[in-house]
Amino acid sequence: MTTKNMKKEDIILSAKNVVNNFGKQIVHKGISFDIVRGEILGIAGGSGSGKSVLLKTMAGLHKPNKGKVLINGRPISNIASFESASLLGVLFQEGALFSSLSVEQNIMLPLREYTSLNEDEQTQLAQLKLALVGMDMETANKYPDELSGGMAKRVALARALAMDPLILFLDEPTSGLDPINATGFDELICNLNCSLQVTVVMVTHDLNTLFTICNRVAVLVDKTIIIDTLPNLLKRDHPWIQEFFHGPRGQGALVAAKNYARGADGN
Amino acid sequence: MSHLQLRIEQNDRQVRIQGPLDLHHFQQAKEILQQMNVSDNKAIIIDLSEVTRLDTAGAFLLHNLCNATKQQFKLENFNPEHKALFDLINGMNLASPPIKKRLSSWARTVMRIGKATMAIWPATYELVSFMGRSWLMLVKALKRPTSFRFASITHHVEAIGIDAILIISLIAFVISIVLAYQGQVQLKPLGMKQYTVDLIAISVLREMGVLLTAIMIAGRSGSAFTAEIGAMKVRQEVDALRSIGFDPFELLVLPRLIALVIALPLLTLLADIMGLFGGAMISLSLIDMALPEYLERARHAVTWKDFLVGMIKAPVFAFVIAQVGCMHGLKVSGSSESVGKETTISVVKSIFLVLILDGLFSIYFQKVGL
Repeated sequence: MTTKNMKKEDIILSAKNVVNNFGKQIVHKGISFDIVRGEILGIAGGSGSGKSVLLKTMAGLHKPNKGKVLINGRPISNIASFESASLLGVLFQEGALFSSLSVEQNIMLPLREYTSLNEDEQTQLAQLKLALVGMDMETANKYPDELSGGMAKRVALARALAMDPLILFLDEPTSGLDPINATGFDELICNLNCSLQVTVVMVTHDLNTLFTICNRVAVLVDKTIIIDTLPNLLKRDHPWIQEFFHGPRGQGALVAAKNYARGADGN
Repeated sequence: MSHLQLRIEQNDRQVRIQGPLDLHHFQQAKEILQQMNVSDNKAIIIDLSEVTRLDTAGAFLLHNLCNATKQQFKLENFNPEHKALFDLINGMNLASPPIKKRLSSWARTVMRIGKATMAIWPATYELVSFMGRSWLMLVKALKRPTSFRFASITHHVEAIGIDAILIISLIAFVISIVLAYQGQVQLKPLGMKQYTVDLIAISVLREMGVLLTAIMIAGRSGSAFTAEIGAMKVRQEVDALRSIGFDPFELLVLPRLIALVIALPLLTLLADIMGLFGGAMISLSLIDMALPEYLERARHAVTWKDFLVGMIKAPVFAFVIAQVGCMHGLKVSGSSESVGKETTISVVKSIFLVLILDGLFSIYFQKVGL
């Protein structure tokens, strides 16, 4: 799965010389990279290396101090809000579901705002999205505080998918999930990537996720970014990368990923 | 993308779809496709070879077309990726969730009134038991004075009392000016303009001072209690306290209760003084009564009893406001919406209770001749 070939060699998002700093503290010193249509890109890095800031910058939620982000060749700052809703979806770390709305209403919110579908069609599409993320229909009328952490993340993913965006940004999608749920979530992301042709960009610490479903991995070190396929990245001799991927957890995840890939091939 | 056009061409029994079949073209495609009908019972063939983008909305439309309409459709020349998505959507069990039967509007109104009425008793029980618990904790804390959180109490006295000095003074001053002005308008033609002073002194000391202060503090500090404790509840800080072995009641409720019982009487005293001062301003400017004369008149108009009647009520109101505020803070559950809801209930309830208690006090004081 890691060696999945990229279907089209075209660029959906590119960052050009992005600089982010908070006061005197520099987080990113001019980073540039491209994201390929249809890939799953994992972003890793130590705590405080600016992963979430980078994700927010790409999603247009944070204005970089310098540089720009282009989606489909257009600067994200020029994209109108209704357009950005169908270009990109964001899954926030804690889900960020609107607590005053039911699950169904949460998913319907962008549809209601930006499309001319009637109420029934909105409901049906919302239910479709719920089914797509593997939730049963009884969840539709529940409220966010009645959901478990894993369910809330799935519902939040359904909301991010509401407008069928081209790019999906995920902020630590598997954090706070038990291993079974985390694996399920990885599979879900992978399936959505295949079936909906959606490009996935995710910030994650989860080595299993990085090894099993990501086509490429970006590592934030020394205020800059190193982006490559995982096998190539493993050969780099940067101390942080070595420690991250070749530490005991990295080795464990690598073995698990190989077994997983073999199991998948066997089926 | 939206700048690409969707074109649907019909040629007898052949339909050719060109361009993106996605959420943005959902309406357009639906209208065209659902109107299609041929007289005989043969299927319409839809050629999808030139569809550039198919998303879940488009796949859903095709799914509906094939399953929900009388006319038969046959989908052909799927792009393999699109076919995979269509099969995924088609294979899903999209049974609708059970729809709750909605009652008619008048029935719902009756139900709501009924529910609200039924809720009065549990709410009263809840408040009374919370107050009982507060007394127990207070007695327990008095036995062991070190358990009082003096730092916390002084912090709250500052937030409730000192920070409110300006606004309480202003309100008491303005209200007594309004009262005095209206009073002298009525009394002047009767030749009893000096009674304006009696009016001001008695009403400010007995009622207005304490009542306005209590209402202001209920809105200002009672709501803050609910929101503070509620936000802590949402962020699981209350559970964290419990896990470290603290009693949230002792740590969160008692200091606020004690601080408010200290601060409200002091603010009432301030409001009384400012109220009398406001009266003096009006007397000076509208009924030509100099300050010494005003004070002399006021001293004869009221006794220490009138002052006492006002001041006795202050700690009682403080107790009720603190109790309602803290209780609703601890009632917050889970969502941030619930913080807002509980805060609203807390303010409304504490002001309501303050007014009810004030009425009861009036009757009681009249009976005992105060």
